Amino acid sequence: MNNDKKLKNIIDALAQHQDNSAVEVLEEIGTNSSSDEVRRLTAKALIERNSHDSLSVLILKKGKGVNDLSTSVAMSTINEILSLKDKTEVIKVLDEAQDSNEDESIKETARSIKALMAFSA
Amino acid sequence: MEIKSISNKIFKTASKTNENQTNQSNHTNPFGVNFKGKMITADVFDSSEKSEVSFAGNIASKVAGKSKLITSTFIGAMGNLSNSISGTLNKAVNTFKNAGKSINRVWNYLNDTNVSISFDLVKRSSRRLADIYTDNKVYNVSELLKKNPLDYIGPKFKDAVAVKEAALA
Repeated sequence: MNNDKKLKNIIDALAQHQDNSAVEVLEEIGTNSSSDEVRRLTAKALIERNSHDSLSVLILKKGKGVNDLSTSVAMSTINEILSLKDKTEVIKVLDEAQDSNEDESIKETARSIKALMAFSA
Repeated sequence: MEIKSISNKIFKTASKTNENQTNQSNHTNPFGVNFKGKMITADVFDSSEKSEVSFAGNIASKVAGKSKLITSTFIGAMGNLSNSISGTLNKAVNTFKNAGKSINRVWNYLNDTNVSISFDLVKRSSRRLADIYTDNKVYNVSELLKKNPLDYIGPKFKDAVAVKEAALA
């Protein structure tokens, strides 16, 4: 089995895993990788989990998810968020980002995403 | 004059002239016609019996002739069929003979050739196959879902990411 296939299977398993410690593994290893593709796949997995913890990693943390330094990774993450069927949790996290977060860039990004969600609704 | 006596007179002349005539049946020559004193025999005249016989015979011969024609046609067709069957059988037999020759050639080649097996190659190949089988099992999503994310999946994730990053470098 080639490495890309292994990676894909591992990330898929972490996205579906019942154990919530999968979020910790994804954040620790996936979001910190130097590979754009690994970070992109990790963000997708965290969005698929659609929990407060997994979405918080992508929206509230600097340099991760929607705040990723790579534009392609950030845009891909925003697209996945907009494609969510159940947006209940993501709206809560976006509100949290606007209200309590100290970092202005994180606040601004969260505000933009909420606006996009309103337009696409 | 009686009729009998008249008829006797007419036929008497005929019987007198043919003294040597044998007692033959006169149905073929009722009037005792003779030629130069010799009685003309039955084979000169067409016999009505014979014609009847030949009529029946004609029908029979016609039927026989037709049936002969049919029979000969049938036999001819059978002959052709048997030729084609034997042709097909011969082809099949030749095919098997050739196959047998090929097998014989291969067998002789194998017997004559020295074949050496590299056990190292066999070992490597079997190890590779074992790895493929193991990978497919270990990295199967449903199998991974049964494992602990921190203790089991985490290290494997780390290794796979390291390989990916190394390829980019």
